[in-house]
Amino acid sequence: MAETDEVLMRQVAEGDLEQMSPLFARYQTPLYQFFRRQGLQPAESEDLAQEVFFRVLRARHTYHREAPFRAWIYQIARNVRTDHLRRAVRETQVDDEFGDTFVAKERRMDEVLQESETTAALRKALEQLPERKRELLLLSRYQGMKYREIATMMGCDVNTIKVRIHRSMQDLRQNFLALTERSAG
Amino acid sequence: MTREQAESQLEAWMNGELGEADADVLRQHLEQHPDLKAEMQIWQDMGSLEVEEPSPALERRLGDMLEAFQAEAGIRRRRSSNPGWLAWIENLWQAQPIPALGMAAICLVLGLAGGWMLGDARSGRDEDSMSALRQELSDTREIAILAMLERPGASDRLRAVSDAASLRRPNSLVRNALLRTLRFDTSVNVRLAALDALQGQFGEPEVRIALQTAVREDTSPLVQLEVVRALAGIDHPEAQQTLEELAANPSVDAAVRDAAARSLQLEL
Repeated sequence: MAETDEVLMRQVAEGDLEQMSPLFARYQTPLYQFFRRQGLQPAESEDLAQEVFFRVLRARHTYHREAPFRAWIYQIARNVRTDHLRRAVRETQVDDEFGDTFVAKERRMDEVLQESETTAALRKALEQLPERKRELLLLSRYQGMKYREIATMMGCDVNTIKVRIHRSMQDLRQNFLALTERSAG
Repeated sequence: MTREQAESQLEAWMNGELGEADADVLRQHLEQHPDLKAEMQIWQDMGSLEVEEPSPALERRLGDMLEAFQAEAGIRRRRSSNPGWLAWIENLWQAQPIPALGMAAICLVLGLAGGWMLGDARSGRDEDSMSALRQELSDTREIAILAMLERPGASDRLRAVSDAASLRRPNSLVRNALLRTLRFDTSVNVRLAALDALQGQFGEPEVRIALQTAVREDTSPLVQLEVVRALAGIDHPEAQQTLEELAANPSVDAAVRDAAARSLQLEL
């Protein structure tokens, strides 16, 4: 039976770095897609995924024995993304709202053409959500995180997360309706 | 089922807590609550928003990074099991706020050890130990470079980059750090220095790909111009294609566009 993430990470923390390999295999694609779904380009997303693992390795001695690994690594991923955006904001001196500037960069035309109108509207509706709401939905829907894990990661209680996800879904639905009505009309 | 119950069930379904049978029951009840039904549908449709997988290069980069960490951990283990003058050097590194002093100490040790080797290079055992010593000092230097690249001060990072440039054969961790610096450092000067430090490695696939990305995404025309020059020297179709795209893109800075076009003409 495969070892749990927590067992592997404990072994890494104790000096058996080889146990990072299965963690790479489990998390490299989800992390890459986590960044991609937030509007970052492929090369940037790969760089940031590597940066997450770099920080995991560098901070391996600080991993708490009982801490849920997924919540820990996604907290690192959020920090990596925030640092990346701060650097980019400083560089480009863009004064748009934090985060949303970097979403919806140009997508490849062939990707756009392959999508149905509904899918394209849904993608757009998700991009239009404020940063925090979008991130919550991504963590829950695509990264497979349970409400409890998200709550642990964000340092709040489960009910708060439930309420926030509910509100995020309401906003997503409204964005989606507005977009589909506009294209129908 | 009341609305509150339906909302609660929908939350549970979204959290993966409902089985198929319960989900079917929920769907029937949501007929009375069109807004909740729409949310359930949207949640399902979100599954169709696909994103590609990372390129195989990421796995290789992670493997290289792990090797570098393992090498570093091996050095530390050897030092802790054999504390002596090497541990003294390490302590000096950690204790000195001015990295140059640590570097000077290492250079001094290298010089003394080198002199000793030249004067007394009689046995193969001595040569082996000198080779190990050189390797350890080189690894220590690379660790120092990586640490300095993380510093907030641009001058520190600039010093780290120029130190990396003087390495004859930087390990993959240093090279990846230079690539990250080229792509994401906030200082134009540091990014330009990182580009300089990568000279000699432009032909490596990862470096070339990073250059292609940098020339498209860097916000400084100064950096873009230098990367165009670097790409012009790479004999690879993708590098040429990147230059062609730049030359034909009206939204690119005019000087960068011209430089890309000129480099293509030179190629012809």
